[in-house]
Amino acid sequence: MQFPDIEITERLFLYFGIVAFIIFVLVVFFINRFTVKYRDKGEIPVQSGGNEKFEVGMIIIAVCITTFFLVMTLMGMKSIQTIPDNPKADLNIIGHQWWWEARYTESGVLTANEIHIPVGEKILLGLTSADVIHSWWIPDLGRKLDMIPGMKSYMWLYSEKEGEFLGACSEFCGAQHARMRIRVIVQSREDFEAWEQGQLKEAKFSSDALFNRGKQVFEERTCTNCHSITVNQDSADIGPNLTHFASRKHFLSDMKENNKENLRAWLKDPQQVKSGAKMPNFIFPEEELEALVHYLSNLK
Amino acid sequence: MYLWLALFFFIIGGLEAMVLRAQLALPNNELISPETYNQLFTMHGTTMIFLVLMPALIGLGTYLIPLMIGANEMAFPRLNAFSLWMTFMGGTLLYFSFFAGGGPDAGWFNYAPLSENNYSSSHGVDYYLIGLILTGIGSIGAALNFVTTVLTLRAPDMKLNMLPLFVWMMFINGFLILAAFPLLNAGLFMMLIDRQFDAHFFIPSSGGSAILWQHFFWAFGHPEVYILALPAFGIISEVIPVFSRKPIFGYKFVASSTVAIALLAFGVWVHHMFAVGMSNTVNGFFAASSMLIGIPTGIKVINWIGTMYKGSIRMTVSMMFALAFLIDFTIGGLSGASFAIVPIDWQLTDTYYVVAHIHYVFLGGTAFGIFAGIFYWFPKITGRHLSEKLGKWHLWLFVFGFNMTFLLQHMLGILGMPRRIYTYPDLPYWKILNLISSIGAIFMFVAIGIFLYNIFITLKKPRSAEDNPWEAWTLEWSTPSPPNLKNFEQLPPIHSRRPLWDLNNPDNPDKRLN
Amino acid sequence: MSGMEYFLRFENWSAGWLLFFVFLWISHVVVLKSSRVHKVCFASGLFILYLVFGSPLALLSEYGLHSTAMVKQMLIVMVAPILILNGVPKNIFAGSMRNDFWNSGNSKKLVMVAWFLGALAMWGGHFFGAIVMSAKTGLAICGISAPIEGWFSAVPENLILAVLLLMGVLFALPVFNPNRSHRIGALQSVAYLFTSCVSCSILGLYVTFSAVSNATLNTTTLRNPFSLSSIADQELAGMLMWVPGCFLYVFLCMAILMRWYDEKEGQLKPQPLIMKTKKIEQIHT
Repeated sequence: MQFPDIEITERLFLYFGIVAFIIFVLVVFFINRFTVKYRDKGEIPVQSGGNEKFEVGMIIIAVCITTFFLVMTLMGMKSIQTIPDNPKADLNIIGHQWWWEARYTESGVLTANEIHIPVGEKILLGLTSADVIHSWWIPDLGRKLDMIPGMKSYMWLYSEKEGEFLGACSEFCGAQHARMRIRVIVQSREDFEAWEQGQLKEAKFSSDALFNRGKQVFEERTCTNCHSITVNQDSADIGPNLTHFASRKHFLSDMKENNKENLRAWLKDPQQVKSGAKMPNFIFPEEELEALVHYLSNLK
Repeated sequence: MYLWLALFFFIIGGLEAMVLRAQLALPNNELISPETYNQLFTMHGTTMIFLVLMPALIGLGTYLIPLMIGANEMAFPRLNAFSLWMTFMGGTLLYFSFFAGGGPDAGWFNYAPLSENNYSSSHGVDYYLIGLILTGIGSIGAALNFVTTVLTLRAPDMKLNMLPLFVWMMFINGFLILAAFPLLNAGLFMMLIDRQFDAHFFIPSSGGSAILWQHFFWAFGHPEVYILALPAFGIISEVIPVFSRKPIFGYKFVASSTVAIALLAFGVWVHHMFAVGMSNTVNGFFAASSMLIGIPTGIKVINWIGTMYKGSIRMTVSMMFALAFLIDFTIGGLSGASFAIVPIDWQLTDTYYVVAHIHYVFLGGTAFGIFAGIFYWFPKITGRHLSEKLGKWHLWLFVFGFNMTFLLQHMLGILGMPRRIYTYPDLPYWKILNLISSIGAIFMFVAIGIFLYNIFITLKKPRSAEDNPWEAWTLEWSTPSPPNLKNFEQLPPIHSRRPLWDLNNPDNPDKRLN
Repeated sequence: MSGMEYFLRFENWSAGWLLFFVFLWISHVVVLKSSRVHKVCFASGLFILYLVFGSPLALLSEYGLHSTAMVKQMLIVMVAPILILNGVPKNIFAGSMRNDFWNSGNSKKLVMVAWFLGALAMWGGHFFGAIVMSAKTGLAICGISAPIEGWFSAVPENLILAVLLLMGVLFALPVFNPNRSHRIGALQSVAYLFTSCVSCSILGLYVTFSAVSNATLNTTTLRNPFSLSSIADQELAGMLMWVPGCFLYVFLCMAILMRWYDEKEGQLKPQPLIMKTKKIEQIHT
C-alpha cells in the first residue's frame, strides 16, 4: 500500500523535527551551562585552541545525519513525484490573476475556483498559467507546484477522505494574491459523476421575465466579452465561465459566499469589494442590476 | 557614514514593518489597500537587505579592516567614498519612486513576468532596478577595496593565515560579493532593457523565460544570504573569545568552514526553486548540496560554544547579543535545513514558515551580530561606552519581541498561511497567532527606540574609554580610542593571531606563526 | 534485468583488465620504495581505473547512456590522477631534468597550461564522447548530432580514456606533485581548483539544462538496464558533473587550507597530504 503524499511529508517533518529539537536543546543546554559554570572568576583560563579529534568527530556525525536525511528525501521525492514519460493530465488548472480555471480532460467540463474530484483516485494535474506565476497549494492534499506561463508542470492530486479542502495561491502574483484562494471538493465517485453531468447540461432557459431581462443585460453590456455562458466554451477565458455559476458555493476565488447580496455588491462596484480585480465597474442602473443578479443566481 | 546610512534606513524599514504587522494583526483587515501593502513589503525587504544590513556590514568592515591588519587606510579611499555615495544614491532613488507614481510592487525578489510592464505599470519597478544596480555597484566597489586592502596593506609580519577571523571572513566575503553581485546586476539590466526597450528576456508570451530570472536572482540571492551572514559570523568569532578570555576553539575549522560556505554557496541556489517543477534529478542533487552547506555552519556553532568551554565569561551586552545570536541563529539554521528536505519544501516554501526562517537568519543572525559588534566596537569608534543598563533593556525587549513575533510564524506557515498576503480569512488559530506576532513587533520597536536613545545620550558624554577596555587581542585595540587619523604610529610585534595577548602575557605567548 | 543484477553479473567484469592492474600494483610495490599510505593510494587509484576500464560501467556506454560516460570521465580526469599522484613517493621525479624544467621560471605558464589541459579534458572529452555516442545511437546528445559514419567512431574508446587520464594527471600535477617543493602555494591551489570547479559547473549546467530544451529527448526512451529515460539520463549526467564534481574540489580545497593554517613560513614538509592527517591521528592515539 502506498502512503498518500502528505503522510510521507509529515513523517519526514516529524523525523526532522525530532533531530532539530535535539540539536537545539543541546545548543541551549551547553550555552546555559557554560555561561553559568564558567562565569568570570578573575583568573585567566587555559589558552587552549581547540581539539581536532572532537571536530572531526562532529563532522562525521553531521555527515551521518545528512546522509540519512538525504536518502529519506530522495525516497520521498520519488514516491511523491513520479510522473509518466508522456504525461496526459486528467485535470488542467490554469492560473489567472486572481482566479483558477479548471478543465477536465475526459468529460470536457470547464469550471472555476471550486474543483471537484472523486475520492480515493489519483488524479494527474497539469498546471500552467495565463499571465504571471502562480502556485498551486492545498496544504492537506500534498505538495505545491508553481504554475508558470509557457510551461506545463504535472503533479498528483489524491485524497483518501471526502470533504472540502482549502488552498491558496502561494506565489506572489500581484494585488489580490491574498484573495486567490481555492477550494477542492472531494466527493464519492457517484456524486462526482452527477456533478459532472450537471455541469455538462446546456445553459438554462426560462420563461421568467426577470431572468430573460438579466440575460439580455448580460449580453448587451459586453459581459460576454470576458465571461462565457456556453457550456465548455473556452474561447473567452479572460474571466471565469459562468454557465453554471450558481452551482458554486463561493465566488471571487473563495472570497465571498455566493448569495444575492454579495453578488449585488460586487456587480455594483467591483473595486470596492476586491480592489485591483480585473472586472471593470459598469455602473449598472438599479433595474439592470436587479435583473442581472436574478439571472446569475439562477444559472444552476 | 555607512553606519549612519544603515541606521537611517533601518528606521524607515522598521516603520514599514510596523505598518505591515498592523495590517496583519486582524483577519480581513482593510487598514491599507493591497497595492500599498505590496509596495510596503517590497520596500521593507529591499531596504532591510540592501540598505541596512549590507551598508552596516560594509561600514564595520571599512572601519575595522585597516585597524585590525595594521594598515593606515583602505587601499582605495576614493573608491570607498564612491561606494558609499552609490549606495546612498541607490537608496534615495528607490525611495523617490514613491513620489513618482508608486513604489515597486513585485516583491524584493521581483519575479518576472509580474515585474514586467504588462503587470506592473507604475515606474516603481524601474526605480527598483536602477536603485539596486547602483547599490550593487557600490557593494562591488567596497568588496574590491576589502580584498585589495587585505592582500596588500597588511602589517609586514602578518601572514594571511594569521588574520583575525572578522577580517578573514570579510576577505572571503569580498570574493563572494565580487562573484555574486555581477549576476544580479546582469539580471537587473536585462529586466531594465525588457521594461524600457521592449525586449523580452523574461516574457514567456513572446519567447522569453520566466524561470531565467529566478535562476539569475537566486544564483545571486543565495550567496547574498551568506554575504550577510559571514561578517556577522566574523563579529561573533571576535566577541565570544574576547569575553570568554580564551582563543577561538578550532581557528582552522572556523576559518576553513568559511571558505567551504563561500564555495558551496554558489551550488545551492536551486533550493529556492524546488517548487518550480524541475525534475527529481535536479532537485535531488541540489537537496544534497543544500544539506551539505549546513555542515560547515553547524561546525561554526559548535566551535563558538566550544570557545566558552572552560573559559572565564564576562556577560557584557555585547556577549549577551552574541549568545542570543547563537540560539536564534541555530533556530534559523535548523529551519533552513528543513528546506533542503525537498518534500518539506514542497509544503512549506512561500509560507510564513519561510518568513520566520529568513527573519531568524537576518534578524536573529545578522542583526544580533551587528548589535554585538556595535556594543563591542563603540568605545573604539567613538571613545565612549554605550550604557550597559540601557543596552540590557534593549537586548531583553528585542529578544523577547523578536521571538514572540517570529517563533509563532513557523506555526502559521505549517497551518497554511502563504506569505505576502495583505489579508487573510478568519481560519482557526490564524487570528490569535497573527495578533501575538504583531504585538511582538511593538516590543522590538520599543527596543530600537531605547537603542537610539542610548546612542544619542552616549554621544553627548565626554570621551572616557581606554585604549583596550575589553582586554582584547587584535591590533585595533592598540590604538587610542578613537584612533588617530593615521591609525598607527607604531605597531606591536606580530607573531601570532593575538598580538596584544603576546604583548600583555610575555611569559605565556601563543604559538608563533612566523 | 535490473541495474543491480547487471552489475553483479560475473561476465560483465573484465578479468584481463584486473590482471593488468594487479600487475601494475605489484610492480609499484616491488620497484618503488614507498610507504603504506602510498601503496593504499596507488591501489585505490588503480581500482578506480579498473572501474572505468574493466567493470560493467565500461560496457554500459554501449547503451548510449550519457550519465555513465560522465561518471567514467569524472573518475578518470578528476579522481584517479589525484590518488595516483598521492600514491607515488617523492623520489620518482628526482631526475635532475625535471627539476630544471620546473625551476626554469616558466612554472607560472606551465600552471596555466595545466589548467587549460584540465578544462580541455573535461569539455573536450565530454563533447567528443557526445559525438561518438550520437554517432552510435543516432540521437542528438547535448545538441550534437553526428552522422553514423564519421571518422570519430573509429577511434577506440580506451585510447580516448587513456589520453584523458594523461591530461588529468598533468592537470593535477601543480597541486598534487609528489615533490612538494614543486607544488604551487596553498591559496593558489585553492584558486586553481576552484576556478576549474567553476568551469566544470558551467559544463554541468549546460548539459543539465540543454536536456530540458531538447524536445527529441522527451520522446525517446533508451533501452538500458536502468530504464532511464533519455532526458533523465542527460540531467543526471549534468548534475553529476556539476554537484559531486564541485564537492570533490571543495573538499580538496578544505584539506589544503587546513594544512595551510598551521603552516609556518618556509616550513614545508615534503610529504603527501594524506600522510599528514595520518600523523595527526597517530599523535592523538
